[in-house]
Amino acid sequence: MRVVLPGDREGIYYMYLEGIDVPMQQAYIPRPKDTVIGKVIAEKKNVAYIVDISSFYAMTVLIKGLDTRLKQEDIIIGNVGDNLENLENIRVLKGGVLIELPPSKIPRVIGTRGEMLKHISNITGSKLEIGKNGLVWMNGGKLHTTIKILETIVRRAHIRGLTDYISKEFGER
Amino acid sequence: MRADGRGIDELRKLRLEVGVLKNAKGSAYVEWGMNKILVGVYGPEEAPPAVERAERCILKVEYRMATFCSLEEHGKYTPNRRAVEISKVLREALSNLIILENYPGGMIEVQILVLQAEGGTRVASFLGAVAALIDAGIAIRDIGYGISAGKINNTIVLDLSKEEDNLGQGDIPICVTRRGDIVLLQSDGKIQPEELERAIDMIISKRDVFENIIREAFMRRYSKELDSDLVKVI
Repeated sequence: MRVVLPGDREGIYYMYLEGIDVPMQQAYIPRPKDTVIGKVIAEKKNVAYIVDISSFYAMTVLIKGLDTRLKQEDIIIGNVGDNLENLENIRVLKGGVLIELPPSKIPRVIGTRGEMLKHISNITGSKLEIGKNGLVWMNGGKLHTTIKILETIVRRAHIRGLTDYISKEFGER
Repeated sequence: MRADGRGIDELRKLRLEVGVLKNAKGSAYVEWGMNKILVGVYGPEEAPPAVERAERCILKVEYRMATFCSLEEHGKYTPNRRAVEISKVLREALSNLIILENYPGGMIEVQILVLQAEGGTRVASFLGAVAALIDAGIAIRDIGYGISAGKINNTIVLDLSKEEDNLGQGDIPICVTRRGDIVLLQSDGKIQPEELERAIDMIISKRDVFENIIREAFMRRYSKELDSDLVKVI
């Protein structure tokens, strides 16, 4: 195992482990079209909602063009707009549990072509929604086991044989 | 020639650990000689509303000495002149490394606590801060480190201890990036220009030592499982 440090090569700003192409830790920076999950924290009277996405600034959802009203504490999923300030195509996620992971581990939760995600749903029967900002919403099935699996992914994301380990520890449904 | 028998460019024993604090985004612990320093990095979070939304991220650096950190400074809780100065120079040094444009309107906090001080705490804090920033996943251009050089018996030596700092002819703490850009240079005492150049050359020649120390600290962190408390139910 070799550690790649910021500045090792031009354009490397984070720490990597060689052979893993996502940084070990990376603070989330919103990019256009990113799917993110957030929580409504305030309403600007009849104009917009302010949504906390666990980043260094909050997103805005414009009320104009919205078919439902939102309220505080609502959990929503949507895409980051081109201006990097608005959330578009939003849906409200009702019920369920919201958890926060380090954003750099999200690609491992999804897996190659979504395999890990399917794997988790198969084991626990939970429905999962993943935000690139590190927030994961889940509902139904064995929620406790789903959280345990996500914890395992975070703890062992940098260790080989993750999928096999999860099958062994948690088994198929 | 030196009080503890070291060679002129020999460093004191140095140990670096990363990921030591659970309640920080990134953290580091530095033991350098008798210095013991903890660094916690928080953010990027939203800058307080009183601050005008800026093009770049705000960087806050707070260097504090524990009430038990040294014989002279013990028992004092409020930041003294020294702590205010070091916070300021470290903030300026670190803002050259962090890509602050990446987090417009945000704020990054670097909290440094000196548990035990024995000369060279600002350069040791700089090393700890660099490691903690990497650990927090904040974009930085390059790694960096610092050494305090000094003059004893008209000879330039590296890594002054407390006695050497107090009794020597001068000390020059210098922080550099791995590429050799100087991000902090202070001077106390009479140093000739050619002596300063020699000090800078000697410090730059220690590049590989520090690169390995940082690399190995992260190697140790990721050679095992991480803590599961990185997952939070909210």
